[in-house]
Amino acid sequence: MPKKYAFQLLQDLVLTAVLLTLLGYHQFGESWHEWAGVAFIALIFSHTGLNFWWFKRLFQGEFDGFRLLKTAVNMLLIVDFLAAGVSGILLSKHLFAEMPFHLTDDFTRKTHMLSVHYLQILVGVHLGINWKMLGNFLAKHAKIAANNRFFYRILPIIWLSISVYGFWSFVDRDQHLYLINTVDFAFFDPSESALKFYADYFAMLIGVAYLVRILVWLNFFKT
Amino acid sequence: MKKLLFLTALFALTSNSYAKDLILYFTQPESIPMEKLDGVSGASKIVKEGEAFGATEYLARQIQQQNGGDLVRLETVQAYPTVHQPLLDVAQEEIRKNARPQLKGVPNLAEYDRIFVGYPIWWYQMPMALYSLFEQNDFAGKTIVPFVAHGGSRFSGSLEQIEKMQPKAAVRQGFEAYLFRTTKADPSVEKALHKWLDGLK
Repeated sequence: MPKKYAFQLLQDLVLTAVLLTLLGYHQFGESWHEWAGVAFIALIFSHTGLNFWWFKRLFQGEFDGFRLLKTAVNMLLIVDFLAAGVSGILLSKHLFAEMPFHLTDDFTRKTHMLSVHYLQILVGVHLGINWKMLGNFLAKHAKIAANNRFFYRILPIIWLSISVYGFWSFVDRDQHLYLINTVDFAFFDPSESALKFYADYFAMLIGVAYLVRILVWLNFFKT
Repeated sequence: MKKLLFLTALFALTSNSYAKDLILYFTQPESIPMEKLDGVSGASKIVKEGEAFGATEYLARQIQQQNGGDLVRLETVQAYPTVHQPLLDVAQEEIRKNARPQLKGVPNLAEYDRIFVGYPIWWYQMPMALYSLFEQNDFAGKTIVPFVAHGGSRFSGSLEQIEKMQPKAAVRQGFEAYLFRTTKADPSVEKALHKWLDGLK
């Protein structure tokens, strides 16, 4: 595997871990949340920089349905990421609190809460759209045979089970209320174990990604 | 003399076993004229039968009505702003400075066995005035029953915080209600509150 791809793969894994850490606002205290936010922003810039070819080719060639979907999701991701990042920096109570741009108002706070809950969904969609590409890439470089039972039979069942749990968790945690902006302040349960929290959020991310992966396959690649 | 002693002892015993509950609450309603309280969220106010209360005060009064007990409002020497944005700023400033605002006289806790403590959630924690209360007073051997008026964050770690500051007190599972969305008194909140109070006995 070329070194650049290995680095990107590792970086995307770290990015996912940092995203989950950020969603657990209450797990390590506010200072950590803010540092993790800064790290996330830096990693996103690196992630986008290493995939800059995508922007260069944006206006070249034909647009089919799949490419249109991919472009739309990526554009939404950029806008949502900027909203989450900027509102987070403005709200910061530790790292940037002394800055002249520090804000405490309801609009900025709610923008942060709304954008990060959509970011969670959009990152899942982004992952789901690229799922097949990632799978093919891994199979190629790990030299997995086309009839590999674990990779092509058992692994999908594992992902599907995680997804089902993820959707159950989504409902159980009233996540939809955040998406329709009816929550003024987020609820974090300090009595719940960190392991359960991160397992749930990981499952929710996989749930969205795997659903999108299946929908993409049904719509664009089913032959 | 013996009879007197006996009577005194009896009185002491009976009065002790009928120790009253204290309902201590911290409320900070914002100054919005009555006619503008049309159900718009964010005012920390509840209107019931044409009268406006602070959201936490409203819960405190409901508890007193059903359970009885002495109702006392916890106040700070330095008053808080009654306008939304300045209040947000002051509350955050207090957290960042880890301030302990001076309280305006706390009732003698020794007279009570069970103390209901009501507060809002500001920036995902109790107002710093509650930190003053729990750090500067002795709740050892008493039962603390928290009740919270919030905007979605529920207890937001405050139960654990109280347990940390008063390890010798028994902190009961409290009552929380989302009272930020509307300024109208909600019968379902009262129903839930009454059910919770029944469960406490």
